[in-house]
Amino acid sequence: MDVGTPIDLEKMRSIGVIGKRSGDTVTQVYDGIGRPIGKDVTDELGNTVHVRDERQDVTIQASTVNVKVVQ
Amino acid sequence: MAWTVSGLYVANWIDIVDNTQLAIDLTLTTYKIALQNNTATPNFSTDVTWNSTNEVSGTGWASGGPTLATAAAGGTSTAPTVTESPTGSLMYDMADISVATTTLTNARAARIYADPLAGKNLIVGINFGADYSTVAGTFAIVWAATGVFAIDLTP
Repeated sequence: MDVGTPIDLEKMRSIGVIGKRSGDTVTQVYDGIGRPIGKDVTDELGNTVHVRDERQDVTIQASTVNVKVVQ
Repeated sequence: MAWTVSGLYVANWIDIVDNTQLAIDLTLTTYKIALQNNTATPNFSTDVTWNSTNEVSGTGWASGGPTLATAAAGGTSTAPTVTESPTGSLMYDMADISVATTTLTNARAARIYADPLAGKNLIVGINFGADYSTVAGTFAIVWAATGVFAIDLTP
């Protein structure tokens, strides 16, 4: 199946259409009675896309911008 | 063109400490945080002013971005602080960004800027490392324990 160019794949991934890429951690999410309600996809950067039926959340783990005074 | 690194905007930081005396107060919650896509290429040496070129905005995240007064969970303030942490370092920190019910496409980076100033002076740019999108969901940025940025003044 032709799934498109790498850019197409990245776009599809960014909106949660495809679930996993090498390095991603996919965690299925269930409600209180065990029904699947979506998945959390955490990439190699540690950032997570939370995919649910009608919504998608994003959590960025920002690294500190470290600045050093030049000697 | 692309975001490849995070950084502080040098020209503005020079203007803070030289006789320009750019009136930056990092504790102000009237400053804003805006998003950009990866078509943008920041130049931390020459970029001075926020503008909407290559901006990512949408439902729940207006052009220009939310103020830091409303960008934390529940529309509350991020309460930015400037402190010494660790010893010998200046740390700029704030509560995590959490804006609900947004629909945003391919956000690659965030820029914090002094919106009340006529120059809308850029303070810091944060590269996310990849493109991220929300659909009627929360866009969150969790800051590291060591702050948004830290300047080691005693290297």
